[in-house]
Amino acid sequence: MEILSPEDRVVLWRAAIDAEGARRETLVRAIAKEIFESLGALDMYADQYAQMTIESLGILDDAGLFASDSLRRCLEALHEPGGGVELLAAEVAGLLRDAAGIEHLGVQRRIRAIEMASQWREHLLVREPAEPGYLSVADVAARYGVSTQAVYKWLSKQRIEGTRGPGGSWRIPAAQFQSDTRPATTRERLDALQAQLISLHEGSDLPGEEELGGQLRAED
Amino acid sequence: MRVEFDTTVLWGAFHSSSGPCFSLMALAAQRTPVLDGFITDVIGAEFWWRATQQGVKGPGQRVARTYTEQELAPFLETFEVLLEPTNMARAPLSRSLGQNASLVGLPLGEFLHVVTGVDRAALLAATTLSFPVTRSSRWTSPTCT
Repeated sequence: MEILSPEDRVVLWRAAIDAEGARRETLVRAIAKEIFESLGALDMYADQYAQMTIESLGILDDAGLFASDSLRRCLEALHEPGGGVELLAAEVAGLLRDAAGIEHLGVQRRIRAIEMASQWREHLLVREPAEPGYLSVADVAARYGVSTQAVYKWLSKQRIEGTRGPGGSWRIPAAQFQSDTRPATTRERLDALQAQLISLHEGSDLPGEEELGGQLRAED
Repeated sequence: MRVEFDTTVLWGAFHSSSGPCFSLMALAAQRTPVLDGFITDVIGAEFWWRATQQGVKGPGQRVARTYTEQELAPFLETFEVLLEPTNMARAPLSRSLGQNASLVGLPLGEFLHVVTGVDRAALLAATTLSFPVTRSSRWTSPTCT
């Protein structure tokens, strides 16, 4: 059920950005609720997804990515027919991957950001495409783990083929992504590697005593 | 677009899995149509040598460190489509020593035996060819006897 108009959602988003402390948290949760109302289109009805939406926006807020203009555009278009909620899910997944690179979040939350990005992405990948043989911008972003903005850029620079449909949304032929038959890495493996590398480099800026001792002895 | 990844990109991806280097390698490894990335044998050898022998400093690290095979394994396995020797491009010019990197520092006779396949005993018997191959060695013409 739609609660807010597109304009109201942007006003709410701006108010959240301007607010601080508990009020900011409340407003972010209100936006999360608005998003959750739309997730039925992606078969994300369960309470766990409500919690995941709140947690995702919370991490984006702490990472300084909640105020990104791409998120505002997706919020504005959330209830638009032809893939508003899909675009938002793909954008949240892409931003969560960016958040995983923000060190001050801490290792656990960075790894959690990657896990949630994968979950958002999976819900886009399992559903049938609206038009057989064609992908949407959200589909391509989810498939390769990039932001929707990256896909728009590929389209504008003609790195990938696509045409505009009657409603203005992009129709991207799926065949072009199957032409390269060489062995490829899956996005799942890349997600797992990201989490492993974050753990590997945890606290690596501080050399161990043995390592530092060896360095000092070498300098002598 | 065909793009060669150098060692700097590999290290950038290894140290920052959310950075642009990782993203570029991920796009190439997934075989996206936007980027056809590859790694030459020289780059692969240099990455392995620095990772396991010389050591490298990550962002903000004060001390260079080496990595064990176990620590490197997830990275190498995930990007094996770019890093497997059979999938690597051969560097055609200049420092095309990737496949012979292990020969650095060997006596010249040993080096020639491996590279040319000429009889080992005959090469090693020539004492004038038994100085080590290093970058610091000044070339002097061996006296032929």
